[in-house]
Amino acid sequence: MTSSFLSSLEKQLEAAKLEPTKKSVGVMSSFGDGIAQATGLDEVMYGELVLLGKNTYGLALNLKAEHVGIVLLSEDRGLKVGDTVTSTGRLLSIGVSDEIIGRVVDPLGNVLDGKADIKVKSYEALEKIAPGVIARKSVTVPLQTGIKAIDAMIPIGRGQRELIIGDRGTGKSSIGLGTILNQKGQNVICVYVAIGQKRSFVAQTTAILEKAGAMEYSVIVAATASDSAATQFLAPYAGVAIAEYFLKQGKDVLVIYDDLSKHAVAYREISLLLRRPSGREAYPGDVFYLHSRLLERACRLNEDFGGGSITALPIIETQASDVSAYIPTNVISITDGQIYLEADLFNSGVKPAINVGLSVSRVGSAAQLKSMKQVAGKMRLDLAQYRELAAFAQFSSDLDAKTKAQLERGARVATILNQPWDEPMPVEEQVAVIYAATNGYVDSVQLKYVRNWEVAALEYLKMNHPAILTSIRKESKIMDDTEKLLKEALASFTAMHTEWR
Amino acid sequence: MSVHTIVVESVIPLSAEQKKDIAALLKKKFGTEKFVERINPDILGGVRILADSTQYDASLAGKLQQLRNL
Repeated sequence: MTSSFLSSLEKQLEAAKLEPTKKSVGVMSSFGDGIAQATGLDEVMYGELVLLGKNTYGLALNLKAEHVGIVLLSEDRGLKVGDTVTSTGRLLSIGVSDEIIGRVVDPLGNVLDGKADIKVKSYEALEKIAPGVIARKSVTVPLQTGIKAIDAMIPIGRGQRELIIGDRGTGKSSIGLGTILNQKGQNVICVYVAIGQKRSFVAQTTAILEKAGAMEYSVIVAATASDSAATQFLAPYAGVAIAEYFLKQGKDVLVIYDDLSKHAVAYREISLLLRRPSGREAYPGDVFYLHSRLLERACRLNEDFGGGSITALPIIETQASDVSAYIPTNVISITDGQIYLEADLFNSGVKPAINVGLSVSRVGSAAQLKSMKQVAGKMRLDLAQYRELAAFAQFSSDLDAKTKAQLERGARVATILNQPWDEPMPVEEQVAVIYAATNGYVDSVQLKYVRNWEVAALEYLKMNHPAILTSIRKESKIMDDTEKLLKEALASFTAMHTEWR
Repeated sequence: MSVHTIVVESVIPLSAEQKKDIAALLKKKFGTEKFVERINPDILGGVRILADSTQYDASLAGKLQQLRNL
């Protein structure tokens, strides 16, 4: 036993090639606020990992004639001015393997959930140029969020970048998490990147996803509020690097960046400490590129390049609904559309509090299911008319019958769109419910009972007419005979329930 | 390639012959024979040459570090 161990050790030692090495070194000349300056290091690369002292790692971000600016990535205890800084020749990367699914990691790949370390299969570079034009393909496959208002009116396709924007406490994260919950059995791997969030929130999110069984296809990358600005700055790049590992296998990946406002703030902190010139709102000049190079890595590859996709749902928090601030306008212009959440709507009980008028999806309609398109167009019209009339009707008490009917219809359609965030709905059920609402099957139901009606009607359809839902799911559109069956089923269901009239 | 300063580190003072060998080596590589000697017990053995900011490490400490990284 012992001798075999010794002989294996001997073998290893013999195999070891110990040769004189050549590397670029420098001396740390000053250090503070998580930033070190070093002289020497003539051959260091931009974004290269450097070793400071014995075991502190840093990222070379400022290369100047007289010194190199380094952002520290790990604990800086024990460092002193005069310590040697050594280049490693490695660009920053994260160790990934299939095992990472279901785990909580930090942007450097260290595990945070207290379980075993991840056996690394490949190292993915944090900074990488996005796939080129030749490798890409247009978005044609839908990514179902399970949220009626989004899937019907602001459809998202796999490979799209859709911004979720709104004030604090308007349900931005809930939309992202609800979408993750809905990816169960959809062959989508989800990466949730928490940037500058509270640790309690990350713990809570992990628990929610675990309870719902969503961690089986999810990864959480966490750089919390108490982590250094450098860690927060790297988190989204680590998230997309993990996504690219699965993209290479031809898989569909969904990445949620929660949120990029805090990411910009972390980068601003680093830039100011590195003494880079500041611009508008004290953000550095390259803050646009900070987000554009990240979001450009969302893509849908064509079959020659594996056919996978990365869908990005960045989140931006606005202050007092100001979408014309610097970072929100930047990210709005980079993405393929936005979901705009409003505090007023949220407070008046509309959940999700989506402002349908200001929200758009620029490419998703190409990916929307035909059946959904059939019912959603009419709903959009109903809602638009409802809003116009509702504003007008406030001033007059006696309305003609037609206007009244439109108002009633609109109110019911709006109610149907309300949905708890953690109850995503399969697309065929969405289509059935919206069909019922826009075709007047809910008109006779009292407004306060609409939600009860919805739940019961879906139960009824699932129990007694499963073929209708199966047909909607399987066929790309609502076939004529399916529509006939659906009409009959809804009519008989409405006739049964007189208590809600 | 012009190099401004060359520092040769060793644990014990170099002998005259060793100095001559190193000077010849430096002449071939950098075109200069001038170097500064420095005694550094931390490298444990061998020599370590610092030409401006490039370090050529043939010390025992460097080899042990390589073993550790295996």
